[in-house]
Amino acid sequence: MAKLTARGRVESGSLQQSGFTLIEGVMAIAIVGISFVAVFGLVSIADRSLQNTIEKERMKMQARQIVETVAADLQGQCDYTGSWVAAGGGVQCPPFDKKAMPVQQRMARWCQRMEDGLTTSRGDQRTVRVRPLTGGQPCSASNASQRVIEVVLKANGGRAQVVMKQVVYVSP
Amino acid sequence: MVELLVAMVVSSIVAAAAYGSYSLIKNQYDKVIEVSEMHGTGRSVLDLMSRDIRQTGYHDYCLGHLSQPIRIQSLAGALTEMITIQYDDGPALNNNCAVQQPNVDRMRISYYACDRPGALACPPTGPYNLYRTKEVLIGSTWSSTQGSCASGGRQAPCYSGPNSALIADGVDDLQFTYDVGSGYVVDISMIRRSDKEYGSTAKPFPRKSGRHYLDSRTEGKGLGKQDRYLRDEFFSTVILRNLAATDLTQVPIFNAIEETLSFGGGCGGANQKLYAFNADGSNTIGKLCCGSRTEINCLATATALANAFNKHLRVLNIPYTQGKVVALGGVGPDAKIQVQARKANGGWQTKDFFPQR
Repeated sequence: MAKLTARGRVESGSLQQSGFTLIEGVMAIAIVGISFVAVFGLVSIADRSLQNTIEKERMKMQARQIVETVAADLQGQCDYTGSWVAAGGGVQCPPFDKKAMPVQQRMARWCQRMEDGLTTSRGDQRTVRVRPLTGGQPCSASNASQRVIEVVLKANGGRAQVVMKQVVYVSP
Repeated sequence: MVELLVAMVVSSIVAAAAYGSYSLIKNQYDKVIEVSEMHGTGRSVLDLMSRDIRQTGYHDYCLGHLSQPIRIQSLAGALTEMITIQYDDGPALNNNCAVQQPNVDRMRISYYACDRPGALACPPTGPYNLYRTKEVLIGSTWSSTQGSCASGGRQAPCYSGPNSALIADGVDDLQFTYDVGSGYVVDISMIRRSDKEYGSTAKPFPRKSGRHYLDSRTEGKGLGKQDRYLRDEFFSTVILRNLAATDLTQVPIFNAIEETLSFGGGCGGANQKLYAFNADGSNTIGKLCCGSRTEINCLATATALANAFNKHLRVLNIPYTQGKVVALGGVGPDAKIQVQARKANGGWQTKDFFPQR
């Protein structure tokens, strides 16, 4: 007749069988489970981090392309100043209007491109600003020979951000 | 035996989980590398194109004006576009044309996305290769036979023949927009895709619905509807400083904006300008529009003009004091706008404009 001893070994006549108790088994599974959770936690963090890297890479490219275009368009340069972030913190893109002027079309396209490729949440910033290098006057066709183009992009609630500036020389 | 089986099962689970994690991370890592490579190559290609396009219209004093400094055309069947530009490549101007300038080449350079070089008809969908084709129309070395320029002094014509080079692959679309009105700028837009597919589900491009930032022809192609490739759009804007300078000094028509316009009594009032729309303007097909920077009012219609002009000439800005439109018309290759420009010493000079041939 087999019986369970205090140490958990099963004694059956003269033959003794040794193995794991239920508690040992449960503990082992719990430890393995905890390590899985920890490993998956790390994987998740690494995954998010790589996703942020892709997002930031995309933002850098967007910012650079925006600065390039604004720098090239000397005629409409001052009209590029604007922000797509509404008072509540969300991003609101203007509709793309094929009848609009090139400046408005580009602004709408840039905003939609960013909304397409970036994670949007409160605290984001999408701003383009063109101002004279010196003085506090707003940008106008006649008031500066040097202008600063500034693009500030924040995505994912501000966790990823890109600030890019370029000085351009124009004839007043 | 039971313990062994349990141990093997647990080990297998651990190994499977470890492999799953590794696979996930590796996939993401590969994706980062691929995105980085796509962006790097995309920017390099755009920089290369921008450098060439920026030179458009520069001409040597002795070689005279360029016949057609810029041309944008659609490639049959593909909906992608080809840009062809001309400029003189050589040392600074020399106004003594009796002296030979053996180092000046008149170049004609084309950029286009197609499955093979030199074709004007391509498959309807990508991916395409991006090619740069260079021709030397008048070379610094002489020959009377096309394609066999010999060494010696320049005696035109010395034609090199087209020489195509593969610039990039994986290009789904390439579009150009030439906007004369806002200062002689060319917008370049290129969509490039990854070498491999990523993820497990097909994703659309644009990624979110209701986005209309792409060119209308690209949207119509439904890029990425059923595949798992990564895609990104690369864009840049280049000012054609040589063309702007040419017009400013010779025919001062397009050099100012925000001026009163006159087109047969069409536009009037301060800050009104004339806009010409065509097929790209959807509901403005066949219309001439007057308006200001923020609002465009399409009242006048001119079907002939709309048919004639391709989408690249979106805005015409003509200061009334310096020029006026005297005639327009024609369809396709015969399309033109004839304007009269006031000369510096008085009187009017007539000039025909042929948009984007």
